[in-house]
Amino acid sequence: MKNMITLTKALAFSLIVVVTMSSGVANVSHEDLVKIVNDQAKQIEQLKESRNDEIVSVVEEINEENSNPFGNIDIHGFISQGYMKSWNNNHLPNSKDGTFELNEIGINFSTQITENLRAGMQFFSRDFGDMGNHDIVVDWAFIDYLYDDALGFRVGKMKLPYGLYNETRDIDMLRTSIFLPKSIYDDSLRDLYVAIQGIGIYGNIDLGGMGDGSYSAQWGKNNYNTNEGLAKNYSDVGFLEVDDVSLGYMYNQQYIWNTPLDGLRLAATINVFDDLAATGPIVTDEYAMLGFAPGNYSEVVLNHFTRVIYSLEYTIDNLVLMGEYTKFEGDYVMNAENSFVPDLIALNEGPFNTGGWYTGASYRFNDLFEAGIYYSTTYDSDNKNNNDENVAISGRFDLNSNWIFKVEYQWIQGTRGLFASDNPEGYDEDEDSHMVALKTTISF
Amino acid sequence: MKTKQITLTRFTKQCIVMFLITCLSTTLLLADTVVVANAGGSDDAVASSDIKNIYLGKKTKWSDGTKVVFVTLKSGDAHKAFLKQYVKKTPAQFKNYWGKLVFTGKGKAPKSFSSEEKMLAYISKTKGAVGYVSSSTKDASSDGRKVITIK
Repeated sequence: MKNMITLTKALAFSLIVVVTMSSGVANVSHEDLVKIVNDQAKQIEQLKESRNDEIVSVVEEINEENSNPFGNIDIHGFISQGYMKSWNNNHLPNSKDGTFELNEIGINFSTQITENLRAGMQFFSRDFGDMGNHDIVVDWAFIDYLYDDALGFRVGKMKLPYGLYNETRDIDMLRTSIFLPKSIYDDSLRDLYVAIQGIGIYGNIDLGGMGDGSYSAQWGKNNYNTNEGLAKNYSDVGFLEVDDVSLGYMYNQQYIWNTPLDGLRLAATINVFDDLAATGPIVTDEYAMLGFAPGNYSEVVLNHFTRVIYSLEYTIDNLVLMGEYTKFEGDYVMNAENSFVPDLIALNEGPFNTGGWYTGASYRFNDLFEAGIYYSTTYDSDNKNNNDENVAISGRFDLNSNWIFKVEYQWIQGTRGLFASDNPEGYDEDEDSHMVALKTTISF
Repeated sequence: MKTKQITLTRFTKQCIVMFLITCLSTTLLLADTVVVANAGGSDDAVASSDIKNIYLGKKTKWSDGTKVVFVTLKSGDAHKAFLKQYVKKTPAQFKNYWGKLVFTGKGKAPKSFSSEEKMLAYISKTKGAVGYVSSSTKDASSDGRKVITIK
């Protein structure tokens, strides 16, 4: 603006000189010249004020455009509803007949308290067959203090950064497929890995020419509902009916390297559980003669187990390639109360280890349509021939910026992740399973 | 050795021409962008990786400690070109990235504007603000704004 005033004064003065020189008569007083230049400057000031008014008016429009009726609190949410039909085995209760018991609802509230301090929480409800059953839970709720870009702290209940996609496994609109690969993101064990209550640290470090690195670590534990997969897994054995699941301790670390090659990121996750126990009364009379009567106390304890996940994601424009590998090992013991002796008796114990991996790709064809495919396999680490496989092919349609629709076909070989209680007539292990799912999600 | 002469039909030639025009048009449509910031607090020159980290929420302060307030356009060629050139993401991938942060409680989605004019007006009035416009946009560096040099 100052430059404009100076330039305009100069132009005005030059014009005056040219006019007077061309007229051949320099008959203009100094006072007249000053008056002309000052008049020009006043006009420029008026232009400036009207421009400011214009800016204020535009800013008011902007504030209205980005206005939040709740003041400084940001609110976001989503609603998903799906349908599943399977063949040969039930992947959800009654899925061979078709089921709509496949939905999620979430709403979150967050606010920036100070420049470095943030707080928020998300309520979540889901129905996944006979798991979840629309119970409303606190999905996450924590306070986040960012000391600087390389170090921040979180306290409360947080989503667990486990693999690349665990934190958002319940958020349908953030991926191409309806179901994540079983080898890493088994839905039957979702509640084991979905969150942690405790403390966490995190940060991002610029590595100069080597890209940048992110790290996070969490310590704590979690509470588990008995209407979720963990309890159902233990009850499914048919020996006990789980009425409580508890965890002694968990810690988790994740490291992500955003490499110098644009679009390529690598990650490693280490997850450790101690004393995960499922307890409940014995429900079978099969061992009653030996003193393990129905109603006696029983427990399955995973003393210590470790899971590692190595991840790769490579994004090239609209194409995303991904792959993850996991190894899971630990030891367990199954104890039960015996009517003939005062102490718990160990019925079964030993090590366990499984592994698995998947690879996949997605491609966005245009603003409307994105397609994806993956292959996933899970196996016993000491017998890789005892493996399950599945292939998923997905299509996603972005009907607008808030509404999506998906369709997915899955071929499944094996029964890992399925429940015997969902298949009371037994599994069809001679035939592969097939499954088609549809899902729609609205988010804001 | 006999060579087989391939004769292109008129229709095929037309298809090839249309394909080339579409590719060229797409390239031309991805206009250059300039990074514009509030004249107070922001750096005069930053590395390209800093712009990327700002828009991914990994760099939150300018070198003098002023909080970075980064803003985006809602759509358009300048939005696509900027994200491709600096953030290395498509608009859908950028939306998903911030969706992850919002729905895990780890971040707040940036303000977005339906026009470059509204974005520029916001940058003028907000210390630490940074955004982007087409390189052909006039007055990007006036009214309390400056164009940041990318090192």
